Amino acid sequence: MKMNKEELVYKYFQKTIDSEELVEFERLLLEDYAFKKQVELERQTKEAIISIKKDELKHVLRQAEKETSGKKRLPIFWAASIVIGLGFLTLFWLNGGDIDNKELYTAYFEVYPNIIAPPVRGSDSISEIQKDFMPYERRDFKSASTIFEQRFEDTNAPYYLFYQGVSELELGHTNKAISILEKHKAYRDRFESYSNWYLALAYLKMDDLEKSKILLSNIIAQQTYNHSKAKELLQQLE
Amino acid sequence: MFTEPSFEELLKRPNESFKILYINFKSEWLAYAKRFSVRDDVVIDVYQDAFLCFYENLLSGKIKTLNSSLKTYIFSIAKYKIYEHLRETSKLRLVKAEMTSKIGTKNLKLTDEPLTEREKLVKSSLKKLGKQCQQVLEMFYLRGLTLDDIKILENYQNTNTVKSQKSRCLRKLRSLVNRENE
Repeated sequence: MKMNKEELVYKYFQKTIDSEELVEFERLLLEDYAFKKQVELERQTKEAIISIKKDELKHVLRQAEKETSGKKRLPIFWAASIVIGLGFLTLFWLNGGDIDNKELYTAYFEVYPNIIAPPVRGSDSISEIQKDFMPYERRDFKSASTIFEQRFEDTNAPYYLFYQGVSELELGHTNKAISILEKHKAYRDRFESYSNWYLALAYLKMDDLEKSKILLSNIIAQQTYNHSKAKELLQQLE
Repeated sequence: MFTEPSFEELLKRPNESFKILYINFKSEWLAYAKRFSVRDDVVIDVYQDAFLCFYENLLSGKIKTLNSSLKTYIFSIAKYKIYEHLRETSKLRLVKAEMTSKIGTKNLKLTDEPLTEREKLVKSSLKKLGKQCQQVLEMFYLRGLTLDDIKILENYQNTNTVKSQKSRCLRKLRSLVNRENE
């Protein structure tokens, strides 16, 4: 049976080729040089597209690594500082330890990603929730906080409180953030363990080490969100 | 608890979804990797490679579903890559005996073959094509869309127009590759 070559190649790449057509396809690969070259080019094109996509993701992962690795290096810095200048560090402690706690906070604080409604690239329709999270995505935390506060009132969905708390932390309104996150915790939703982590950091920033340590110990004991970081941080506080 | 994204989500918005996965799993991977005597930079490299390997398998359609969680799958690839590294640096001779992954090595679908010289040429030429061509080729070869799907999505007049556009793009690509190859 004579088959259209172009149609065969199309079906092959669409994975809709049947067994009879596949026999013909393979025969042509062996006997028809031009056909073979065409299929090769199309295969290579597919491989090249995959490679380009991988390069894009590689770049994203490197960025993510940069964003998260700073927090790993800092404890080493602290350890080195302790070894090199114990007296210098003691002086900081004698002066209230204020700088240490704020620096530790900065080292460990990171905005929690939007996992509720991440934007969809290339999508025509944007859901209402995605619209709510757009300011958060573009790091306009002031607008984000206002929207989350309003949406929480409208819907009573606790995650809006959590994201409002994180936004306020990022804005530097630590006391406000604490009261929002404490309110959020009472709902005991799936973000509760995340709130614990951000509250531990917020109390640390406010020099309320007692509360911060209790929260960190709970995170470690329950092995919840960021428990390894909590362990690392608690070790530095003790 | 963190909910892992579906394959569909990962393919629809890879950059955002993979970044979230990367950040979520990282501290656990670092804790897990402490059992291997490898440098910190290797631990991070294999972690990133594991994500890329998984993404490639997703794009090429080698994996359609998983019998495990994404985390188990990604960690299994990363662990395998650590053994590979240890073997290459002669710290480990019997890789198979040490491989106690929940997922068999076969199921990881590790290929990770570098591009051939010809594929590299196609890749660099592809980047020189216009955006419209790149889009049509990606839709067809990567996303597996039919000419009819592309017609609707890209608002072409009819399927034949898409077909001619795709053929034109491939012809242009071929001529760019040949020119580079001269």
